[in-house]
Amino acid sequence: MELLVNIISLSIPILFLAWLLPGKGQVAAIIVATAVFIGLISPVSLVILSTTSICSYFVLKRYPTSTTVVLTIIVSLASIFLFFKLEYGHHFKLLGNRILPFGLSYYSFRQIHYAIESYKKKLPKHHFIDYLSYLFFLPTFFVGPINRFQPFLKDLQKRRWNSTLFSSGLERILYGFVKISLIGNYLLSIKLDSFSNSLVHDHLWFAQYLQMFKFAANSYVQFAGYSDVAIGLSLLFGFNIIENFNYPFLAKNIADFWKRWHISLSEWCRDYIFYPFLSITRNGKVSVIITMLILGLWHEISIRYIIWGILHAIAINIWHQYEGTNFQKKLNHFPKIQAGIGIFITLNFVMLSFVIIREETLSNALETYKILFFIKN
Amino acid sequence: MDSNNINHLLDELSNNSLSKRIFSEIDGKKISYGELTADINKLFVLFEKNGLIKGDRIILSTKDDYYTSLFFLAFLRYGLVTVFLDPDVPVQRGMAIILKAEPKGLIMDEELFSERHNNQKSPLYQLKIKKSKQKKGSLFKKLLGNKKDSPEIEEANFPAIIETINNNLKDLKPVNNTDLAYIIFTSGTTSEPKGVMITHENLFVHLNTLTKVYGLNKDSRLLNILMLYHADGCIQGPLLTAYNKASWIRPFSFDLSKIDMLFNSIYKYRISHFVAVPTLLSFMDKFSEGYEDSFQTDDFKFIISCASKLERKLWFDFEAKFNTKILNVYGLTETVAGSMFAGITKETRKLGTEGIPVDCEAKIIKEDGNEACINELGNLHLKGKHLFAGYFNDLEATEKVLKNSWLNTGDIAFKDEEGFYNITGRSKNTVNSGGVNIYPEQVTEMVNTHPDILESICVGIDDETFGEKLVCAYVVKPTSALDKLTLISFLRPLLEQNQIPKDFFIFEELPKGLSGKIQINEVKDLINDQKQENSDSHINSFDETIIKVASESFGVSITEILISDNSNTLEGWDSMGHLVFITDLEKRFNVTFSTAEMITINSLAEAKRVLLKKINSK
Repeated sequence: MELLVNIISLSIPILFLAWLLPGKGQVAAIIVATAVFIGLISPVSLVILSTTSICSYFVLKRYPTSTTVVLTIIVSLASIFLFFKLEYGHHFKLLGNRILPFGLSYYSFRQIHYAIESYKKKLPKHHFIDYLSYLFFLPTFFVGPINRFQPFLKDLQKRRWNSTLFSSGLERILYGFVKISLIGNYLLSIKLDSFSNSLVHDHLWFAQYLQMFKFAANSYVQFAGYSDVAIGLSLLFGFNIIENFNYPFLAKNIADFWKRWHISLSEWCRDYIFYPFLSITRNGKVSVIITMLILGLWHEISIRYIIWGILHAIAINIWHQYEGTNFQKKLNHFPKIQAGIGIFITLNFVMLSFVIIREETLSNALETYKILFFIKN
Repeated sequence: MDSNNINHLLDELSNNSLSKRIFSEIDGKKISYGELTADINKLFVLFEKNGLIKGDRIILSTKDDYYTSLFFLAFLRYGLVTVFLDPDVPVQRGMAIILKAEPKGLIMDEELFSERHNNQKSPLYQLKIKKSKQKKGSLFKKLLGNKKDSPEIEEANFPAIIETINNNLKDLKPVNNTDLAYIIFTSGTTSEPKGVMITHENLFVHLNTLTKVYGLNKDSRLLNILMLYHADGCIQGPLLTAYNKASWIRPFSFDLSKIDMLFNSIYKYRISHFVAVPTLLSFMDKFSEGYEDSFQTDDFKFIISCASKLERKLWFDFEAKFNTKILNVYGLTETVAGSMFAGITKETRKLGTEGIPVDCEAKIIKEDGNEACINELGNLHLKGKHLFAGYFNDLEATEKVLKNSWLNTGDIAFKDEEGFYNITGRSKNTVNSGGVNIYPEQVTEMVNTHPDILESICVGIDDETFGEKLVCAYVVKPTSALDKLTLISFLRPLLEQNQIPKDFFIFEELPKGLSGKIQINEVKDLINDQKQENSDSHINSFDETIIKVASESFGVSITEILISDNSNTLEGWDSMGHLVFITDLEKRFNVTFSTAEMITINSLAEAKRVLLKKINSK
């Protein structure tokens, strides 16, 4: 929350510059302000990010070969995993606090996307300042979404003052704060938490179920709230950024869930992990497992996230196995019943999978599962 | 509309309430109506000072879009007749037009004067357009009162020459409806060009019609990037804009690399109407990935397609893909810009037709001179106050097409049961390629000047992108080794770029009639036979196969799939569907996709592109 308040506070003066300065000065103001913000938090990070931006742009422009693309990907991934995910950054005192690791993850994913699209020759004509403004874009820098370069450039080229867009942005920021503060911090974290705690003695199963729901729902509203603020701020600056959530708890199956949950990350993983592995292995199931494993590790390098990723991979593969069976075809005649069952199973699977990442240790998670599956009272 | 003539229009534009309203935005530079009318008033003083009087013909030829519109408006109000001369026209034709027009003055870009030297006996008023470049340190020079370099030369040129004018012309004579407004040379041969004369009445009657059909008002913002030396560029651009006190947007000189900018312009410049030609729409349709929502803005009304026939398929596909409407205009330079309109209102909407006449009459005349019945083919004739006054100094040509106030358009058409007109071909030998009229005789005349050519003929053949394209069939001397590239190099200085034939076909002889005249239709047959040998007709079946594979892979009915669909628009195109689709394509076409290709394919069109590349490289 503190991060959001800081970003919004900084955004207010930049907004004036971003609309009142002439021509390219508007975009330059956003880049400079973002860089200053990063620099204030961690000057070393700013140096690392700026250096990789400059190198990746000019190297890819001059040598758009598979080697340079792979090098860019390795450098980006190494930054994430070595310095931040494994927290070596803290050992080397490269970072002052925890917020840049998030920013760097998104930043690196954007760089990898740019490198691959550049290799695919799918990038429209643009200049270095366009690339910089894409990477150093304050509203999405720290909390995503992992927006793509092409639509960003499109917005950059057609950007103009639009009062409707601006008011939509304000509205969106408000929604974000309502999700984070009212629903997440108050209703779910305080009210529902105390209610479920009061049930622990007499109704342990129900209390655990509510806790499981609380964690999943809170994860959603917090993350969706942050995305709302990022999207809202982007609108204030005149940019339409990709949506990150689309009612994920209404997903009718697990594949559908990943089209609705953290959309920008799951699409990124589909395009830059799943498809390349698919082309190499020609095996959908293996590619799904690799993709979900990496997606899990993106959150945290730990056993629990590996298990979480594999669980989702198994679920997706089971769904694809089931898809098209005679049983499903029969159920297609009862779309409402099918949808209802689908939503129920998917939501409960997702909530159950969150138990692994909610609990501090695997044994704690196991204890919770025993209760939820009536093995232990 | 009050502005039914140029006298009223200029009075209205000079009104203080309009002074800050934007007239044009060209290459990022905004010009207000206040600035426009101030410049026009200065030009009046300049014209009078140089002895120009009402009715004088002035050649206008500059690459600067604002200056073209400025001079055109100033000429109209002063009563001068604008003779449009495309600055890119080849030297020979340019000189022929100047000779034919017998102008009183030449207002052209400085560099054009040397190449278009004239041998006219009477002294001409000559004004060179030369943009002065801001030199480094010029601000200090001005501040310190330093004299400019060669002031006499600089100040004799435009626009420097009007910077010294501070007064307005007091007594400006009114212009009459019957006065000539402009002349556009569109046809005829190089040595004998044919100029279409448009009077003020023709022009303003038609501006009123266009305003009514398009629903224009002062809040309209027209995006028109068409060439200003064609009627659709100049009339449906700056003039129609000024007539409505609206804004004309021309953000850049267009080329294909700017397709993305063109899409983005719709939102960025709050465009309400986009004036285009079918070829441009065809290109936009092809390079639309990621821009399908470009016309979904609060301000945008519809696209205006003009200059050539809008094929039904393109019309339908474009509207479906971009979720917008296209208004199709049928007209000729002889009718100012339009005559028949189709596409927007329920009454006028019938895709693939030219629509219905507005503020004019139309009829179909058969070869025997009688009026055709419903669905019967004949020559399309038009009648209305917007019809031109005739061809300049060419009574014979005028009488040939203009009889009893009816214009024989030269287009073969029929009228259907619902009253819609449909053009099916042309009786006169004209090729409309990408909205530009090309007169094959002009080109043939130039091809025949090559010493190795025994005989030749240029004809138009159907083309998917340009509607029609000009090709050349020729016979060379037995000892000659003349090839296509050498011939193109020879033609380049003699013809406009769009007049250069797109393809050349060499024959041992060309088919002729009893009179010895080359038979156009037989030549076309010969060309088609030769083309058939190198046919790429597999392309269509290619599309069908890809759609069939997509249908099987994604479980979607064939009828619901378009070749323009992509992973976002096709239900069922998820990660697994992608694998099935890719492997099915590999089996069907016996190819193997690389990793890069596999991750690139995110649309059916992309799949087609990659497949064609692979198959062709085999």
